[in-house]
Amino acid sequence: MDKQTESIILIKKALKGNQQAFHKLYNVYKNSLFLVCLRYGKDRNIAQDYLQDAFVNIFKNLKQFDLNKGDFGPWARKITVNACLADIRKNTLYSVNITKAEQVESSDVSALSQLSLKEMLDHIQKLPYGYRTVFNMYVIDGYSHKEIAAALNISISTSKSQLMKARKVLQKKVTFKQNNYTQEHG
Amino acid sequence: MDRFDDIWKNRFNEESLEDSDWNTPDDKVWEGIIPHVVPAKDSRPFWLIWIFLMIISVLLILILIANKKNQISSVSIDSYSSLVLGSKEFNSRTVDFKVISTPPKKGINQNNLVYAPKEKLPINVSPSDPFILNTIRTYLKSKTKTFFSNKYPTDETSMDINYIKPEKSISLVPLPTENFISDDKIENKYTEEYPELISSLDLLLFLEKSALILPDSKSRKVNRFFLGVEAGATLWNHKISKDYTSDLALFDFNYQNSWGWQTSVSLGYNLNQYIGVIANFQYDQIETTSGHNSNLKYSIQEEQGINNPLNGYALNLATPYGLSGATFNFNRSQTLATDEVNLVVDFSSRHSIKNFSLPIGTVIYPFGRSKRIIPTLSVGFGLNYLAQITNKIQSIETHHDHIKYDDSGSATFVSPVLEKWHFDYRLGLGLKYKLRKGLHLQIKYDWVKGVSPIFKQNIYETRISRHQVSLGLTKSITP
Repeated sequence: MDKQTESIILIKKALKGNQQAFHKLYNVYKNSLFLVCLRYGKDRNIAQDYLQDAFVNIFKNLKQFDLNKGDFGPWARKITVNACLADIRKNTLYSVNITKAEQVESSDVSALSQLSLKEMLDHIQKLPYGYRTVFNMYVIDGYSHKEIAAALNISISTSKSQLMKARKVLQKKVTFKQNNYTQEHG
Repeated sequence: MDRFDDIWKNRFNEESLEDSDWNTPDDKVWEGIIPHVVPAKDSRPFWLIWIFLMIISVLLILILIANKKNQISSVSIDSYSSLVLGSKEFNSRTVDFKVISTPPKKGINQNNLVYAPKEKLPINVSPSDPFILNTIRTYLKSKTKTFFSNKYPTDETSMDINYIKPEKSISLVPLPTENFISDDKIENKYTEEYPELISSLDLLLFLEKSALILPDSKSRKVNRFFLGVEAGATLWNHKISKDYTSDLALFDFNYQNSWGWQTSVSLGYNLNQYIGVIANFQYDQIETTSGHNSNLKYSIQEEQGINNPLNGYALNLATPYGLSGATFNFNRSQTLATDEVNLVVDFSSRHSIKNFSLPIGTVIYPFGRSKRIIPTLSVGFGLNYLAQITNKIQSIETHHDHIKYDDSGSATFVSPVLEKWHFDYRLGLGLKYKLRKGLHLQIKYDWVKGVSPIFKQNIYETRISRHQVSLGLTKSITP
């Protein structure tokens, strides 16, 4: 049974009040959605808070999910991103320095390709709030600058400059790591 | 999107992800979710319930009004100032009385009724003595089967009276003027000495005798509708959720409840002497202030411009209506000893609010509407439309001698995302003073309790309660 079919069966049971179905649904999606939360949160604890909020929202809105049309995974992921953003908005006075937005230099992506997912996540988590949020939304979750500006209450130009800076910082970190690796291993 | 972005996107969107400690949440996460895992309830939006209640209320009022046309309830007429007499016996005498009428009972033939005159007679009967009022009331209570009104009295104390012609005439006995005083002893004495007491029925009989009654004349129209205009002050009292204020306590978040002004027009309908329905259209405008502090870093490396070194910032500022994005610049006026300066910055914001309300409710006249001074009580609920809240940065204090806020107008502060529609219930106390016929001066206090938030974001919310004081005029109208 594929993941989507299994999800639909579980959702139908959950909608009838079957609590075991809720738990199974949680187990099927907890890791993939936790990865989303880890990207938006500064650390594991914050990410777990995000994940909890996300699943509460997913289960509360389960009735609105169209079993015939939608794929549950992307739907749940969107709710998870929204839960992260809601938490970021409410807990953070979102401060970013917006001047001197610089273009990212042509990057050496070979260094990036060599990183593990965990290492990439570590780099994202170490970004400042603003950089991390905009980078996640734009690059990984596919939001437009207009959508980001509306979601975070910032201007489009701020969103763009945040993205530029995030890329630049990540590039530096990846390159630095690559240089160290080259020096250490000849 | 370049190759750099693609790698990030693809790696984090891969379907297969091996489970390991770092990407598996702790069991406590599920434990926190369990209390929320309940069968979904079919909960309807709050505003739908309110609209439903409003529609039901309006329908009830309309039904009540429609029924009143065919129903004659017990009414009290405070005075008979428009009733006039032309008899020598009553010449220069002042008489005032109350009439208690009761609904006609089934079986009474309405065709037998005759009507009081519309025409004015030479001598006015004007307000006077409660002693006479009580006596006449007592008399009329014994005549409830034959004396009643088919119209409600107006607040101008004039009405048409229908009565069934008695078989026998009652002789009129003029009352001595000296007995027109309020005193229990005299009343008793008077009742004993004047058994053939003058009454409203007597008066009508007298009019009939004088051939002044016009059978089947149309009843006078009664002005039950009234229009009002008022203006005054309003205090917006913010009820901000504790979660919000406690989460922002680190930033010394503060706000002010401010006075503004409000104006309204109203249309009302008096169902009887003691109760009416009223609908208003109200506009409020106020300005509030709020503030907090934040840690910001000024970096020489981030500066734009050589001649005018500055740092630009984008920051969510805390307001009573949630966090709103703002952009602003700091200028550096002198060379600094270090490349970076940590600042503790005080922000002060001003919020301009425009709100429309459509309250409907009931107005109660505990002592009737016929006195010169009329106390009023009102209860109702309101549908509100929050037209606008605009944010403006009032000041930013950096507490630094050489780094200052650039207040040249380049700063921006976006408006908060609000719940446009919100609801309230309201209680009012007022006094009306009769200036002339149909025109009243009104002073009023309203307490308005917000029952739905104007701002809501997860567990954060802000509701508004208002204290309103207004002065206005009401005028009786004939539609």
